[in-house]
Amino acid sequence: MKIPGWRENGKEWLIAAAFAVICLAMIPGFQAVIKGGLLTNGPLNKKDYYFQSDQKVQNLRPKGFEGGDQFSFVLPFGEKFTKKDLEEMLDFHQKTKEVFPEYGVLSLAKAVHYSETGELGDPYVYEELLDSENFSLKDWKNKVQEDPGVYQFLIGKEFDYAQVVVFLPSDYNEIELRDKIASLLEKREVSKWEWFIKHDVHPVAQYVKNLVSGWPFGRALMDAALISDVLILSALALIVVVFVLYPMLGSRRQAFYTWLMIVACLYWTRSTIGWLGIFGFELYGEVIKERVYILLAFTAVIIGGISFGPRKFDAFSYFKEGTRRERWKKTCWFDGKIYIVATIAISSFLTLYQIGIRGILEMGVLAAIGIFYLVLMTKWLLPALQTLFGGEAKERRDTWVLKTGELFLQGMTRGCLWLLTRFSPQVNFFLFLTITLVTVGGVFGIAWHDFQAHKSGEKPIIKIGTNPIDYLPGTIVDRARQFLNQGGRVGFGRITFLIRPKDGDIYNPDFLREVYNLQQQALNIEGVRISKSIIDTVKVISDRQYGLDFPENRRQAMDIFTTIDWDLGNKVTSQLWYDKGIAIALAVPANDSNQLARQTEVLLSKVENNFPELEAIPFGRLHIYHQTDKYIRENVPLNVGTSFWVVAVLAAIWISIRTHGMNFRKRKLVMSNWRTGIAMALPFAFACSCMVYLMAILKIPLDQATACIMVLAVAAAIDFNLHFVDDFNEALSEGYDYLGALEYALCVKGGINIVDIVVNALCFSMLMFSNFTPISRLGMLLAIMMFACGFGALVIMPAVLYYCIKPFNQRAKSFVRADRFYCLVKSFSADAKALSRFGVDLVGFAAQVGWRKLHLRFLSFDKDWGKGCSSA
Amino acid sequence: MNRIAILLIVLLGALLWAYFNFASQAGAAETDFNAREVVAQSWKNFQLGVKTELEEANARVVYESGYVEEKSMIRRTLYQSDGNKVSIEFTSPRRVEGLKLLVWQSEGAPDDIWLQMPSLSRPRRVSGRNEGRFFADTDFTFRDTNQLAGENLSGYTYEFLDSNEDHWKIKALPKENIKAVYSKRIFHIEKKSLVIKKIDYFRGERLNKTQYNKDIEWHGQAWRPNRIVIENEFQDRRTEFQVINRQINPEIPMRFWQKSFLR
Repeated sequence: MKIPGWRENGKEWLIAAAFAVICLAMIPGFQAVIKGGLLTNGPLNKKDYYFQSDQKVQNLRPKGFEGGDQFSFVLPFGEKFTKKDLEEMLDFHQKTKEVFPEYGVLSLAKAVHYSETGELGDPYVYEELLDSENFSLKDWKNKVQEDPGVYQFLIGKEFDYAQVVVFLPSDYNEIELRDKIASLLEKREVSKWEWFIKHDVHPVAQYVKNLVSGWPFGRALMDAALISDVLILSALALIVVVFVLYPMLGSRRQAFYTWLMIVACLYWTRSTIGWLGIFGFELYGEVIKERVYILLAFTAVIIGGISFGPRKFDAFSYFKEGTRRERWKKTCWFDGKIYIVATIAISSFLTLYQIGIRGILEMGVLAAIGIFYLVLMTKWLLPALQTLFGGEAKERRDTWVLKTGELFLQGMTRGCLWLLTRFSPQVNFFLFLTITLVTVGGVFGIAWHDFQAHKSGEKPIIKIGTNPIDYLPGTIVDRARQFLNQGGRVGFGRITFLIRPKDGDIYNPDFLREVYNLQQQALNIEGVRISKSIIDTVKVISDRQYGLDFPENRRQAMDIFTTIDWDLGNKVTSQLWYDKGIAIALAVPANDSNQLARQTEVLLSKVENNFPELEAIPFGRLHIYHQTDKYIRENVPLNVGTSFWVVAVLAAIWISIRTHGMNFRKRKLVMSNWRTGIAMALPFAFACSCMVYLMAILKIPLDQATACIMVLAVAAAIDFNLHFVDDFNEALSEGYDYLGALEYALCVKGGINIVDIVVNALCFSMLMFSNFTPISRLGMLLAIMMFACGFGALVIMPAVLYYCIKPFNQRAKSFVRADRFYCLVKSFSADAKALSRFGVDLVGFAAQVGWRKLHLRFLSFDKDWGKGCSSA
Repeated sequence: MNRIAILLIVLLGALLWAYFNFASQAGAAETDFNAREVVAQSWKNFQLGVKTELEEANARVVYESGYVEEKSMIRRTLYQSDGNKVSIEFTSPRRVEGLKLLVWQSEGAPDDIWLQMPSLSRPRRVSGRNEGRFFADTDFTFRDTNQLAGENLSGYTYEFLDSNEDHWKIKALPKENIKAVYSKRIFHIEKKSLVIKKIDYFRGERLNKTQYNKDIEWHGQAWRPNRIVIENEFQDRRTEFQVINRQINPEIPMRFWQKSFLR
């Protein structure tokens, strides 16, 4: 193969070089990508009550209160609780202290048993106590049961497990934390490379029963799973590209160029996150981070790449005459279709901001960026690579596979045509429109039912709820959740509130009494397992040291708080209280975000109605979960509607431009722009409705992942509709009638749409291999949805198109003007090109003259210098 | 012939092992003696000519979050050959006002420490197990409150780590017979003045905190830091202990070092 030189193909070399340079420049961005939690700073609405409340609490750090994070080691005991369990717990507490010396660690080996008098309190468990011959397990259990500050919190109600709680500062590093937990439980150093394939912790035999509860660790595990997901997905993408593109294109090199384009787009997209972070670009007040949903953005890019690349090469292969460069030039007519597909996809992705969730917005922005890169590469890189390094589609051999494929495609397209010609076009129009409207109407019915159910607290048909634990199925964190959520145990989640006196500080005994009463009332809230605050311990000390239920004056209250502060240490106590407020934690299973919302609302209303002297401020991540679901509930229908109209409006504009650009001499019928636009959006309404039924049947919740289903479907399937309508319109411009144009678009050109449907479904089904259950469920839904979109594009839309055509007036002013306009544009562009060529020549000439002059001057300088030397 | 060669090699090996082993032990004994002398002399100087001492001081604790806590206290120390006695009384803020601590040090035995909360009628004893806890939300542990005035030399082994023109670096390791709060301490002692400029405290293998003695003031040959700064690595906070008023050998009634002080 002869590779063309610089002189012949300077522009192509320049593009290839620019591509290589950009790839190199992307490296720092790729390395600087910041990881983000699933729901960290979830809602975009900064005026959201829960967001503002959380911020208010976070701003109390300089005043001594940390609204920080915690996680805990859950240590299940054997069948019978023995002293050995306590020894193991003590040993594990000490190991935890050694591993996390900079964090606050609380367990029965730290929590103090306050005696009446005598020595400063000792912990409930310590070495000398366990070594002592007088130690009685029964007495010890009684002692623990008498202290509500530790009973059922640090040890289970049935003495069947203990917890070692670690209090984290606000600036902790999740990845370091994960590595330390893994090295503690696995008793070895886990290398960072291992985390590329590892997404769970497997404790050694000594700690095999131990579990880890809490999101700081859960998020870090999710990060590991995400990395392995990205690797798996990329590998699958590579395989799909190889197995799909080569048979589609009939050229190894063309398949390789498309593969290269897709991989580069994924790389550029991820690197862009890093670069945006480096430049400090903020989206709604925060830099873009890499979250789990980047997988969806990647999938959109892969599907876009598989659509754009082969179609561009198809257009190239259509022209057989001329040099490669000339043939590529002729494919410019096809770029319009890529632009409109990309514009609709990007616009749909950008509408995701409506949902009001950061993760979804960022996914939309990244997918839009990725598709933008794809357009650039399809336009410039693919032609440049092919021109430089060759790669022609070979004539396909007549193999049985191809024959079967052809037969299948023909069968499918003929089947569609049969369906559309079985009855008259009018009957078909009413039949399929009715099917679509009934399907969509059913969804409105479900939405209405669920809206009423939400208000009355009944069970909805489609559950709305993002359950972050679904992203960690079967892991050590999930097992901890299952263990703690069993009846009689403390529960996996904690919803936290900061309770402040409206006036004064926490040392007021009346305030302490009020908070305790509130805490007791909170136990009556449905689903609340325990309700804890430092008041439990205050009561214990008050009883044992002063013989009082509560401290009776400020001095006593101050001394009690000082005692606890010194015993537990500031790292722990700064998360429990500060001078102006006390934290209350309600332990709940946290399986249902709707229940979480209700629990929160009930507590807030209790404070408002029964405790006028108190102020309750909800804080912590669990409140974000139920708020996120609220936004999904309220905003997803709006977003689906917007996506529908984005497709309709942009398609209408495109149809208008495209129709005016076609030859109209033979045309008898013309498409109505607006009706066609709406007809093109109908398949999505139908497919989206089908998915709602599927979700109802399979009990798939509407969560952050499934909330994007419409937009992802639009991005992937818009080209089915677009290519069909374009072929249909082209047939009309050639003078065909409705049925003729239908046959042409379906049976002559429609095969590629079937291939597209299958390939897109195949790509989405890759998501089913994801470690994350919601992403995997979404993959399954989208794969099925592609077939629904296909049915919409090849059956419903063609039937509806019957009412989108009208007789064409040959003298329509717009067409005559458009014709003149195109002629004008053509001649103008030819002039512009001639002018630019003249300009380039002029610059070249000037450069040559300049160079010669410089050269001569240099020679004369040399002479003068020689003269100077000789005279000297 | 082979057997003889093997025997010779074994003998030579044994001789070399014995030489290096005993030599290193001898070296250790010598350095221990010298290092211990330096530390002992430093503390001797610290107490030279001082029988009683009164300090009014402010403790400022600065957290990484920006939260700052300030406390004022009076510390009275009685220097005795058989063990010092220290009493501390907080004067502000309101939360800790009236809180008292009494420490009796005794050579070769665990210290006696009592804590009195203002609202309680009786003081509480701080057992050896609890001496490692931080005291009064500062970076001083109960044990440190005493070690600021002297060192229980019999409880530790000392070894030179490093030395330069100005300073010695001496490692203090606790002996098995005492209940140690820290696994290791490293003293940085100025050669010229024998003033302890810096102490690194370790728990396990990790550096827990570093104490800097600053603004050294001389009372005859006795040295006193007017400002002590402790950087706590584990707690992400810094304690600045600033002496506002110091009196050397003032007349202080003995009751300030007796249990009656706590009532």
